[in-house]
Amino acid sequence: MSVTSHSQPKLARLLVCSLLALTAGCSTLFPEQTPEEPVVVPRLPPDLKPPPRPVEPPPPAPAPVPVPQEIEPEPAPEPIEGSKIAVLLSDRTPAFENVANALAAKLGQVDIYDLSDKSLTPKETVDSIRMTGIEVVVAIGYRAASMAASFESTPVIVSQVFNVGEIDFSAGNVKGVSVLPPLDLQVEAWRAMNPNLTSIGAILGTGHEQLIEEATRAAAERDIRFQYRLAQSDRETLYLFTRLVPDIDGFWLFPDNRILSTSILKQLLTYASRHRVQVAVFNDSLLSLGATISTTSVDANVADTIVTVANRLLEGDGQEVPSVTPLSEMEVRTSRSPVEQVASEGGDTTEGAH
Amino acid sequence: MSFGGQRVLIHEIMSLQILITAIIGALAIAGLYWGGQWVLQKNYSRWAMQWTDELHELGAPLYLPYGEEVTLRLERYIDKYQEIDNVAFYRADGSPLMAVANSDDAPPVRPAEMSDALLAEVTTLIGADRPYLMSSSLLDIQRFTIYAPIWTASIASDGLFDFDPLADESDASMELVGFLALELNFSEFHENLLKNIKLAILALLVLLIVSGFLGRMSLRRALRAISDLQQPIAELAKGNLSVKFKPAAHREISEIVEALESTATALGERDAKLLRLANHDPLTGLFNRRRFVDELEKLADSPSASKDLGALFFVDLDQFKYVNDTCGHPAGDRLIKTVAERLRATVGDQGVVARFGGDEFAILVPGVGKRDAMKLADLILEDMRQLSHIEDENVIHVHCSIGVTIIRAGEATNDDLIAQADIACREAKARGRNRAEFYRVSKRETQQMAADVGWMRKLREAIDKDLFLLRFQPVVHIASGQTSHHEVLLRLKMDDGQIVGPDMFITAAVRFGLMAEIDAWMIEHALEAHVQYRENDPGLRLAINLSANAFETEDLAGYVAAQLRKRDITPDRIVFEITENLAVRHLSHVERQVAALREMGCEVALDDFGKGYSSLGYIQQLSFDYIKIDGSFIKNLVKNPVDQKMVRLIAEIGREAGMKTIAEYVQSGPAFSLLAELGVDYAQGFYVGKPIAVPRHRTLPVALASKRRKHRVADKSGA
Repeated sequence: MSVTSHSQPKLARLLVCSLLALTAGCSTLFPEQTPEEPVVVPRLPPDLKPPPRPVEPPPPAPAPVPVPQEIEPEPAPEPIEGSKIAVLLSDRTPAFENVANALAAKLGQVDIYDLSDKSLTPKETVDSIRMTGIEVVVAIGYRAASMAASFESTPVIVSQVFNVGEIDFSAGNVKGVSVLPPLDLQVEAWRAMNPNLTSIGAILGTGHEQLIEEATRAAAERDIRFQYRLAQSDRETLYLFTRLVPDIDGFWLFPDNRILSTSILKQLLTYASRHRVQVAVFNDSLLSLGATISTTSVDANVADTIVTVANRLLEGDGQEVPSVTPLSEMEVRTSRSPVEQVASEGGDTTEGAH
Repeated sequence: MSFGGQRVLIHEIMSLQILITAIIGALAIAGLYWGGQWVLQKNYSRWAMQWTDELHELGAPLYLPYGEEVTLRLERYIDKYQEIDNVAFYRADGSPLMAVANSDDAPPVRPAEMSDALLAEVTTLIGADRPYLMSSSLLDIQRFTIYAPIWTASIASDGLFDFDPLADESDASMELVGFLALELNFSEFHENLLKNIKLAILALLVLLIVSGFLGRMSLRRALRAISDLQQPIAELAKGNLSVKFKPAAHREISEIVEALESTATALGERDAKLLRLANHDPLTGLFNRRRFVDELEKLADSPSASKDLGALFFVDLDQFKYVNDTCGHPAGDRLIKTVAERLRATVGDQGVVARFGGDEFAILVPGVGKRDAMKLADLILEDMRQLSHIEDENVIHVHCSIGVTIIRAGEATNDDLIAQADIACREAKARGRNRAEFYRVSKRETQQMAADVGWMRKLREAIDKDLFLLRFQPVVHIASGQTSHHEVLLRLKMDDGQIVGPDMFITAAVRFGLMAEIDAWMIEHALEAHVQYRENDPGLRLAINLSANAFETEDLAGYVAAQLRKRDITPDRIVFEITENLAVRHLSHVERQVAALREMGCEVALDDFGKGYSSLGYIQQLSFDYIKIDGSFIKNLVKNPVDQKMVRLIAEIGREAGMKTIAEYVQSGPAFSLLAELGVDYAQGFYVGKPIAVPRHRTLPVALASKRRKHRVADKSGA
């Protein structure tokens, strides 16, 4: 199911809450539907203003910034007439390829290059892109982003990369599109599912100050306490998590691969489940390990955002484009058991379904 | 274990029980110890794994900045477990980082550097399912150290977007950050285990002793019923067949008791039957010679005031052979039974009547002198004269001759007494028959008796000391000239080296009842000879003569079969010869025995055929393989046409009856040739071959008549 609304944000929020409540109720009525169908959550029109610069060190609890609600939604970006866009993929991972396909569907003419294609070396691939005279390069995935950073004058848009801080944006021709759905929407959805949510924790590697600021604000707006820890390894993540658990009732797992390993990820989710801590994740597949809610971006929304950024870069408006442009929509999936658990613990999710 | 030199069953069972119990106990104790050790090690390993996992988490010094808080947490953690002596942390290069001891009193631990080998070995455990190295074995599980590598891992840069939690580890990299060494001490735990095992062993030993004691008691009780059988079985073994067995409570023993009672009953019945067979004449039911001699011995040994202990009568029917020849042997047997009944009635309780064989009877009357003996003899004679036996509407009168001798203490042996009565009987026959004569000591009679008794002793010695000799006379197939078989002949070597034939001693052997033993000697030694000579002559066949005594054996065929089996001789290698006289005298008995021998595979020859002229009628009843034509027809065969006709007739009768004919006494080539002409199949005699010490195959020239006959047969075939 996909619902997109740019004109009635209040209605959209209400719709999110209703849908979440409905899915929780339906899961009670139809328990075999696990996980539930994703819910696409529209976002407020993207704030094109540059986000606040990261503060060093990040403030423990920045003042909540109200989400603009009365801004008219920006019309859907039109395809770039006559411009040549090359899409460089790290590999054929569906999360990357689906965005490329959405982009191709929108623009009609896109050259897609794949770094995992063994017929060319990565350097040869980049050289061949240069030789075609393309005007915009869209790098999808961390590896593609690293390679595309070598384009000096050609505008580069980085997508589906979490640790964007590790990519050099200083040249000005490199811009990013957020990999995560809007954090406030995530918190909203989570809160809708579990009204008793009062304290959220997160563990991140270094370089995510802006994210921490945004998350803190999104949580604070809903009277939820957000606390985070910085880790340098997977073991440290687990170590910090076990100490964080007594103080939180929800854990926000971000896709920072530097501080996560498969083993630790499983232990973390098991530990959370054992201690009745809900976990919000970035990947639907983690629901089967005990995560509570999964929020992911919508491929079409990502493609739209990329087109918008590309248009602005081609129009010479690059200085005004933020380093990382946020998304406006998301898909939500929940696991049945946490919803039931919440319902049995006295949450009003079930009531909302009625 | 022995009791009075013999092993005791209960002791053996007990010893076996104790041995098995001891082995099981030892195995149980060993299993308990090793099993305990194994379980302990497994548990230690599991605990150690758990501690190691937790210490990984607590092993933060290796991936967190070192801090007092971490140390305190470690100390608090290991304080909970007394088995953990200390925990040491090493950097990735093996150099010690820090250590925390369990005991507050213990001096600060300064861990030694890890050796290169240990470093290399533990490093290989990174990412393994059991990522730790445990330095213990089943023999030493009290103190050991667990080494575990500590590493960090991370997922590939783009890995989280297509993350599959159910797939194998998809970490892009693993980085070793150091090592953890957990020094464990399970001494106290181990000592407790050993203490418990010792208690268990003690309890087991007590149980073993108690079970052994109870087992002994129950065994004794169970076996007492068997011991109770000892006395009655011993009685049974002594021949007391009326012994009573105590009823047993146990089913198994009860079955044994029932079997023993059945055995006692069967033994009693068999003893009675054997006794009857051993002591009685089967035809008349009178005592036989053996029992008579026993009675005679008893009388001789009995104390008596009188010099005359009693009288011994030897009774021989007159002209009994005539009855046999004219009325047939069954009629003769019936007459013998009638005479026996009459003698028994006449003697009554005064004495004992026995049949010595044929038409000879003996009577023993204790406590009579010469006069009374003569009175009794006269009474017997008178009774016999009165006896009228009706056979096929013919009235047969039979008289007898009686020899009497008086038995006096210490004057003569049993054999002497029998010989005396026999001599007296012969004297009566010599004086006209139908009379009684007292034994009188004349010179000639003394010599005759001495000779008879001397033969008896000589034969007894020959049987006991194997003084008999065997000679082998060939029997040749006339048509082919090939030796068919050898007749085994009995010879006796005398003290002076002279070798005499059976004609010299058979009469005495029969008189003194030695024929059965001589027959047995003959059969066994002839078969031994077959075994001895068959190597040189694989086709060797022997013909063995059997007397009437042999055919009186109840199971002659069974006896022969056993002897053949014993020497691995096939029955078709043996021919038994019986005389015509014997065959017709005991027709039904012989018929059965001959049939049994032939069914077994042996061949049987009828010897001296034609001698008595009485056998032609019985030839249809008896089935033989060979008919041996009596030598009296062969001796003058060439000159006597009557003999030739007789021989031709016998040969034709044999052919018609499916029997082969053998001519005895063949002493010349013309006789040999003539026999072929007359249709006789085989020849035996000095011309064919004299009796020799070792059987030897020989070939005679084929008789002309036989050749002619062959030609004629060939001509007919050609036509």
